[in-house]
Amino acid sequence: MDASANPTPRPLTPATFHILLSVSERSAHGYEIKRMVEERTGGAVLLGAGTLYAGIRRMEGDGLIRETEAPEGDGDVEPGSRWRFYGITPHGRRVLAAEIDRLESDLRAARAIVRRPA
Amino acid sequence: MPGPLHPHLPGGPPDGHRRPEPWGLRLLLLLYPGWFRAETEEQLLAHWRLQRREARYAGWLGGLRFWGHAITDGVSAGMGLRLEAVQHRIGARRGGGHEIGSGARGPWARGLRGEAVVEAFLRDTRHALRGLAKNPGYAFVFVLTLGLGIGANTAMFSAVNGVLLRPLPHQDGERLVYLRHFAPAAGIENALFSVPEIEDYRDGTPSLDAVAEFSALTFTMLGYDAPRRVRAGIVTGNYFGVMGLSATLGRTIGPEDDGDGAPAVIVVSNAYWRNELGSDPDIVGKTVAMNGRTATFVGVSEPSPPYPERTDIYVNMATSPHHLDASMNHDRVHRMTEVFARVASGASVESARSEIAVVSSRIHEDYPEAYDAGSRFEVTVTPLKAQLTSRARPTLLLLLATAAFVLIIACANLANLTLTRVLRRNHELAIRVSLGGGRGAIRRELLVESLVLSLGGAAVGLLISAVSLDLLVAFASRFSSRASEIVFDGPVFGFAFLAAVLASAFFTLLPPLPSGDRFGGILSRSGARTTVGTGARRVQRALVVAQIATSFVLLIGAGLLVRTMAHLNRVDPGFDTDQVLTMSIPANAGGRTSDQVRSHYLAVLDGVRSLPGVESAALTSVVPLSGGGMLSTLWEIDVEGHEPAPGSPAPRAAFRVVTPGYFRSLGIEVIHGREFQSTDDTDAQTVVVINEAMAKAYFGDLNPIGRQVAWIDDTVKFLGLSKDFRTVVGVVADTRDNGLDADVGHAVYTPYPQVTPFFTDALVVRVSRDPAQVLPSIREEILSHDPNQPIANVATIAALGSESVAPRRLNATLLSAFALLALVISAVGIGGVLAFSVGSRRREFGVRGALGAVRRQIWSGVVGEGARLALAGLALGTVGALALSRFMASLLVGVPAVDPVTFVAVGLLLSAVAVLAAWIPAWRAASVSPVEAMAAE
Repeated sequence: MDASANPTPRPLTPATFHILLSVSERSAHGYEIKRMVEERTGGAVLLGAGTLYAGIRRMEGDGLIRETEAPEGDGDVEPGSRWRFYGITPHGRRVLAAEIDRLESDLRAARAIVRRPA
Repeated sequence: MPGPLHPHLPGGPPDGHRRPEPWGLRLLLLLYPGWFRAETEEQLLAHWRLQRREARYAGWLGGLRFWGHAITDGVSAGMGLRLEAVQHRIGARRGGGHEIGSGARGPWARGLRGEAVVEAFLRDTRHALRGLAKNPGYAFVFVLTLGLGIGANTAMFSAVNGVLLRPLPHQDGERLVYLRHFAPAAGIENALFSVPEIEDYRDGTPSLDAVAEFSALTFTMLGYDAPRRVRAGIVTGNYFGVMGLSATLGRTIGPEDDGDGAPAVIVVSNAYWRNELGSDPDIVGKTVAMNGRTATFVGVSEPSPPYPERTDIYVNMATSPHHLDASMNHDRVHRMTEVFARVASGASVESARSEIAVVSSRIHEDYPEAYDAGSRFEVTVTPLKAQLTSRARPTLLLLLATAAFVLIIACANLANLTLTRVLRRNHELAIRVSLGGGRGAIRRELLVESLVLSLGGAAVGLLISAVSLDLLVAFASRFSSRASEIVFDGPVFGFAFLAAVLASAFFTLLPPLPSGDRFGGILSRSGARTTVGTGARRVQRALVVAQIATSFVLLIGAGLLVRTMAHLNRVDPGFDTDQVLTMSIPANAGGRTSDQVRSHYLAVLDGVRSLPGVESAALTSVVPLSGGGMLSTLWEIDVEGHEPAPGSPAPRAAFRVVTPGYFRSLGIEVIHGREFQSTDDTDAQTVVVINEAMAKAYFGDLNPIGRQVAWIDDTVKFLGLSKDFRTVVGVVADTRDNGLDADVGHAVYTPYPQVTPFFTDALVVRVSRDPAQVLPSIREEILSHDPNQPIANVATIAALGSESVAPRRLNATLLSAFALLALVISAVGIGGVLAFSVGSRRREFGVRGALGAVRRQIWSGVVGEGARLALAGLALGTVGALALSRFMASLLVGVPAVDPVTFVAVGLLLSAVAVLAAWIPAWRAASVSPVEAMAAE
């Protein structure tokens, strides 16, 4: 079954969403992704190693991300090291965009209700 | 792109170098399924290493936070992954058409919660059992060894739990305290209290809201069935309330039973009621005659550990004429009573202590004649639980530690066994790992197998300790009256289970497994041996060294105790122990005058002396080696011509009453002067005999015969003695009346007729034949004078002596047994390790042989390997042994804690054993035929 034929956009878990976001610009390895998420959310979302790598595995299976080479110009990481880097796929970009749209529409609906006088 | 998003990786990225991962992280890995670990293990480990360095996980609090996060994350993620796999398999079976590893494996898998985990566990268990069934010998050795180790530990733990840890059965037991009145400078361990003293302390201590009295006396009870000698505790009405004990039948003694006019009542102790009265259900209401009056049974108390000594019955004051006596109630130095108290709520033991100190200094000032300054009287307050357990604590803890050491040694052997087994399967395991099976899966199999074996061992261990429970209680009862509370309950089972789990964790994590990288290397045999073999051999060696060190520590402990026993065996008690019988024949004092009692006793003595087979007989107040009793306290004396130096304790001596023939009966040498004769009676000059230690102390080398000694302790008037001077007519050799491990004190012997006869009730008889043959005629003779005469505590002096050191002997035996067991296990361990090492180096030995190496060189090489291991173990063990001997110092007599003889002897023994254990493997190595060895490869 072709992953790109995934019909209904379902809500992503917070972990999936943040991982996808982290690799949307450039490839990164596991620990980097964790640090990016922590910084972005100001420490509110702490990805445990298990959650992270299980999530990565699933997202690979779902075709949202794929393993890539280490991005060039990354001087801190030794060449030939065993860190595995992941980058976003076109399908992943579509899913991410759909999720952002969904979040926005949910937010709009919520704001409409909360602003209404009691 | 520099910055915090690209951390410099100081721990290093996962790369080709295999670093030994710390065991904690290995355990974390186990939370994840094997297939997942195979792919991501290295990333997970590297991730954790980096994560640990973050600021939020710094310090020990941060460390806790790290483990908390990692474990919860691992559990949830691991479960999620397993559930997904199960979900997927179910979906695939239903023909859903999904392949594992692709497609929609959504993170929303629900249902069938624990199925994956349970299924995996069951599968592994079946697999483990099948594997063990193929190797029954291995399983048997494992379960038996572990069972013995766990059994010994469970038994000792149940003793520690029952005696030391469990709260007292008394209600509110933590508030119970015991007061002890003693005079350390005068050598008086327990002076007891007098009634006026108790009143002073009771009034002056608001921290103690109830103070109860307990006096121990022995009564003769008539009218139940045969005349019985019972140990009675005379108590105040508040005693049972203070102690928090209630009655299982009838009622306890209460405040209504206080006072002179109250009827005499008895509450039987639970143990005596069950053991000696046959649990008589109709006991309440029965009456007996005691001390010339009628006493009624009113109840049976609940079980409780007796203190200070075994008590058969509790009675009120009215039952004991002595206690109603005016002098008992008003004489400050008439000290016969023990004191128990309850700390008031809101107060503490410390506040009680300070209040008592205040009262003490006040009464010492007010009544200086009762408290001579040099003796330094003081009163201590101890929680009752501590008091009950203090004697047992060092022994029980020592034995628990010993059992633990033996278990560790046994586990080391078993770990080596496991290691060997894993190594034999190295080929198979390496292939599994390199095909992606994952080390985690292998560890999980090992874990299940170890758990099965260890739980089996725990079951065997529990069985062993259950069977030996009676023995254990008998052993512990020599040290503590709480021994009856040793039972098999929850904590004991929990202990065995925990031991099994820890052991299996140890066996699982210990063997190093092949890593997935060395694919090519593993598949050639020699490659296998060098990669995993080196690591394994190092572990094996370390285990053996640890075993030897632990055995050394245990052997030192055993050796010290054995030397103590040897020392005690050599101690000369000062009298003959063979062929001397003793027994207690307390007279029925009720209704008789002193003269009547005296003539009764003398008649009995004459009768016994005339029996065939009896060489001599005598009466004494204290049977040697029997532990003293009431008259073993030290009383004040005045020696003519000696002024006690100011500030030194008042001179005291042990009081002894004997009839003529006593010294002859016991074979005590008369050094100067004479012993007592029948002419030393009431009308003659008052005389005494002193022992050698006292003569030397007061008179030096001068002849003490003719000098004067007086009893000036106030207590002596109860024995009908005046405080006049008495003439010394003889000096006898020292005797160790209080036990072979006690000091020799000063003793003053008074002739029987010159003292009231009520407390001299022990008969000693020297026989020329086997004591057992003469005993019946002695009994007959005694009963012919008084058919109601109780005859108790019949024993030979030799038996008493043996009994007095029995606890120590038991200790030494038990510890030695453990230590020798440890030695045997260690020897097997050394032999096994060397055998394995030799076995895997056959080719090397073959080559060396072919190249002309002399057999002896090869042989000594292997033995040298064993000796090196032994030396390393000895070095390590010496440190532990020094610590142990310091802890044991209180158990040793006549042997220094750091005893060079023991250390050297044990070191030589251990080295010899190590060499012996290396013998067979060495011989096999030396006899490897080069041709065979090369061909086998």
